Amino acid sequence: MKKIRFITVDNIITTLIIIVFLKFLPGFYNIDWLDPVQNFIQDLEINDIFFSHIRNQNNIQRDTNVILVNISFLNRKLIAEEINILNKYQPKAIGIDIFFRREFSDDMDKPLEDALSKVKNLVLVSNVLNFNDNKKRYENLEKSINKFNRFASSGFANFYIPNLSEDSLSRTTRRFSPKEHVLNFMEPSFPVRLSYIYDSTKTKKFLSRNNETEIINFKRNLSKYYVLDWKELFQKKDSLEFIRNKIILMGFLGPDTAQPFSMDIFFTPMNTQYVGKSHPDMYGVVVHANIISMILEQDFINFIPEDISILMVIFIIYLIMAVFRYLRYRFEELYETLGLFLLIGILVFYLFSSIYMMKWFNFSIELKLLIFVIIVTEIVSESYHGSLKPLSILGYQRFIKPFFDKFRKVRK
Amino acid sequence: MTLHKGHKEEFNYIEYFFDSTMSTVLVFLLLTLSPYIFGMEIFKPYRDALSDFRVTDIGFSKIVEPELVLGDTSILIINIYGLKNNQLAWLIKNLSENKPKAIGINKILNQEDSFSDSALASVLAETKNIVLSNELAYNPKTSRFDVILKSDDMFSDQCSSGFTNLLFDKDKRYSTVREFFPYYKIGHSNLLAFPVQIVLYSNPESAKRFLLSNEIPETINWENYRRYASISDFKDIVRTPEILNSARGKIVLLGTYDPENDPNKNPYRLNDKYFTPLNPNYAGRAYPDMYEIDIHANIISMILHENFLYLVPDWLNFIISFIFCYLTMMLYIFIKKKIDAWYELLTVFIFVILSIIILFITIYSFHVYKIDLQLNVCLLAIAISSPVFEAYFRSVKPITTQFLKNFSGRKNYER
Repeated sequence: MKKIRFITVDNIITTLIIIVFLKFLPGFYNIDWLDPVQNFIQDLEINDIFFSHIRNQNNIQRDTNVILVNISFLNRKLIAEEINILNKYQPKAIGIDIFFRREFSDDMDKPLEDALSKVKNLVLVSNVLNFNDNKKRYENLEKSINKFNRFASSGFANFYIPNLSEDSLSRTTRRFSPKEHVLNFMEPSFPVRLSYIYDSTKTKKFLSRNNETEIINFKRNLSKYYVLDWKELFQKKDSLEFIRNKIILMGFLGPDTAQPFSMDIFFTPMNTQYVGKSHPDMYGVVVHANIISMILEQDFINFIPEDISILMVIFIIYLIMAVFRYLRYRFEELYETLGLFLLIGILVFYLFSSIYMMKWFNFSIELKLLIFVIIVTEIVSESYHGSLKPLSILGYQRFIKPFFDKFRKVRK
Repeated sequence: MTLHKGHKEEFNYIEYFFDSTMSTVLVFLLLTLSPYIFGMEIFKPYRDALSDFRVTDIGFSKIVEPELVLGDTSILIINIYGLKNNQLAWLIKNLSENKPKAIGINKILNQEDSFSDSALASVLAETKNIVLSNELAYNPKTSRFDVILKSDDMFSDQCSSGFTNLLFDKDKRYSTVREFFPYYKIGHSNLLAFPVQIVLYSNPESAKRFLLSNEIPETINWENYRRYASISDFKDIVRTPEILNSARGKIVLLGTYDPENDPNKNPYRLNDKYFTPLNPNYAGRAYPDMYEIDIHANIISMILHENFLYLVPDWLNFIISFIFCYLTMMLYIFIKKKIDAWYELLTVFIFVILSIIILFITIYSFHVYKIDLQLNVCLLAIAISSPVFEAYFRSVKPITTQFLKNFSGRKNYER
């Protein structure tokens, strides 16, 4: 029986065809009306199944370090009142997840200015803008007007969404960047700044991981934090002792917290409908709270760097191609069925290993391209071995070889 | 007729048709079994996403230019979000002076204070052609939606009403509104839908024709897309009540409404809106895009203009898909037999071309001839036809033939 080698020209060529296909696949979606399909494909991640269906929410305790306060559509005067009530109990830090971009009349701005000036550790959000690809840093930092910002330190509130476009609102938020270079200084993210104030040791340990972006370990939505709706805050203003020394996160949680509103709300992996149409499930300020909880609990998610994941995918493509070739020559009759079972087996193995690596080891092995690889490998292998290769040999024997033979004869 | 590379055999037509039939049956068998294969609860979102997808949405969402679709000038929508009963009474009174054809209130009216309530009740009693809205709630005892949630008696006793449910057995958070029930049977009577009841007042002939000929449920034609002649806000009306003059001879719909659809600039309660085929994101994540009153306006417009869509029945759909798949299988066998070396490349090419043709036929017939072919099954069948064909010829058929040979050999031996 002829020995079938692992490293062959056939395997290398078929692997290269798939790599080229995957490289140019995004170009196919440049057609305007295919945008949503591109969005759908790029937004797909297997790990979401873990966050939405596998992790048992009953085992997650409420995080009492972070208190969420709804500022709803309150005007600046009422926000100032909220801050004064909260500040009375001396929380460790107050973070406000809204911008004050314009000046209003004095009867609105003055009370807010006064209230902010009294907060010991105040953090306001900023927004990193205009990324310069050459310098690998942002060129602008948007902040609230100086009247308010002078009492605060800042942290950017942007989340990391790959391939940012106008459709990004309809993408799932999974990662964030702990810090970013802006011009000549380093701006920490909003939740990192707050965590640092609360526990600098744990935050330093988190930052020492030195990852450009981190996967957010989403564990909690509103029901797993103590939430003070604005009405409740005014009603209970004399009995809020439990917020002493806590991190207060003030942000938009809807006109009331009962019904989700379309503003400053995101799709997260915790969405029970992890793929397809669904309502967004988490307000921005709760996403920040999850990041703070992750840092303070030191419960990080480790992941494979992108370069290594690409190498892994290439190796898997090669492996599949080698196995296909082996099956093709060893079991010609069963080849098709065995090939199909092989692909289903890889898919199932990948699915369960991804989910359980997250569950048991907090480790993400998101090999995004693998699903497309599985879809195209059999087609490419068949096309190559069934048509491309025999046709190339035929073409060589019919046209090129006679030409060279003729050429050799003439030379002789 | 076995298909081994390099062998050229005579065509056996009986075997040719038999093999095409068997491989097509295998395709449909796999499609039938696929929901059970992916039947685990964790795959439910995938199933929901796939079953909610329609090729025709691409046309509504991306290809048909909204600017080119003329609006319906016979409908006026007024936003009544947050209005008190006395404000509503004032609005209806002023509206009725302009003699609209019908007024539909897409809000369940509850009692507030005696002064406002009596003002509203008396206006409702005085005004003709008013339609209130009901909601049909699910009754676990009967497994039907036969519990009617309606406005307080002091309001509803004076007027007729229609139910506003758009999705009966689906969750509005995950599902796209594509059809509606013109009526719903409760006990021995048929309850009319809110938009149908309104048309019955404004254009009774159109409503009767529709009710005689419609399908249950009826697919909504979204071509009258939102571009209504005028959409007013209550605040504007209070400032310039003359706006109401435009209500003369029109159908006026009162409900929660905002013509903008920007989730951040014009925030809304997510639960107030629905996903429709007009959503710019027809696949994947999206924000709900249309208020209930807007959908009712589309339905009314469709009935008034008798601009219906024709749904191809499931059985015909199945036959079309089967024939398509069968012809593809015949083509595969033919290629395999005649030009074996080109087979693998040509199958990929055929798959791409057929998919484009099916997409084109579906979108074209839908938007030009108003026929909803729903060829999703056909598309899936074509997608898996090549691997199934190969599995049939390389594995299933030889193994079955061998098994039958062995079986008949043993039988002969036993004899």
